[in-house]
Amino acid sequence: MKKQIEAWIEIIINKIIESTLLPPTTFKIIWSTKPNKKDKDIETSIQYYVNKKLAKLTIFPPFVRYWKQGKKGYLTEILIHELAHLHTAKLQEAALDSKKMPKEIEEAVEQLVCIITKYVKEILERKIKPKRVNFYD
Amino acid sequence: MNSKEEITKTTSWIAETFLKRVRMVLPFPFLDFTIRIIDSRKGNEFLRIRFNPDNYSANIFLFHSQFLKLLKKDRKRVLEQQVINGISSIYLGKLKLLLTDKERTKNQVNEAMEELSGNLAFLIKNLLKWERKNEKAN
Repeated sequence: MKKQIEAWIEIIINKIIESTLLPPTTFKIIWSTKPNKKDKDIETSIQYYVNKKLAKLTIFPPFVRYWKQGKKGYLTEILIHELAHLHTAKLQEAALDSKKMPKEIEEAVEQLVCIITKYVKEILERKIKPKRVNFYD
Repeated sequence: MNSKEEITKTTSWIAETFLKRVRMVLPFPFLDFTIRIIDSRKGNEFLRIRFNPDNYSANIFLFHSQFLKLLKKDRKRVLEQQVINGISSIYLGKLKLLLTDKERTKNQVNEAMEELSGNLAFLIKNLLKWERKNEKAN
């Protein structure tokens, strides 16, 4: 089962990376038999190491449960959300490090603004009708 | 055209652009926007969007003289691009204000990042939806 899920995750991640502006990243999947300490309902969590371009994706039991129920669409959305963190990682690092200069934070914000603008333009140019999602989706 | 008519014209153009073209890419629950006319002839800036995370609304500041010049020259594409650039501040949400606050806590930053990731996920999901549709059509 784990191998099957890992293969599926790999396909989805590659698809997301191919179609978007996500940085090239090496993924390592970690299986957790225990639920997330902060929230038992969390399906996955991601830790991204900007300098190493390495992401550790932890799979928690609810992910496997949804997989067994065949909820692949929902799980794809979960993976998209986790991968979106790759975009915010640099800024998060800068914002949490008191030694970082405002200029570095500004640069990280600027990078994000470019990405957002590029995405929005593409959506508008391709005339996609976006499906509304919640801020906390 | 007198000044009042000009203001009405620019305001309706921006309101229409925002409602018909840009609003659909804004993350929910984005509530409302207000257009404010700035009567300044200094600088080259013609439009600025400021997001208010307290009520999920946006203030659109129009630097009227500069804006009108472009509108008269029919540079609507340039104006529209500026609107698109401006809405990134809505996507950044409360984070932008937080980054200028030296007293920000780790929890506040992480929470704002989580919201931002959600907003980015919204865009990525919609791009992927288009890719899927395109693949099926081919």
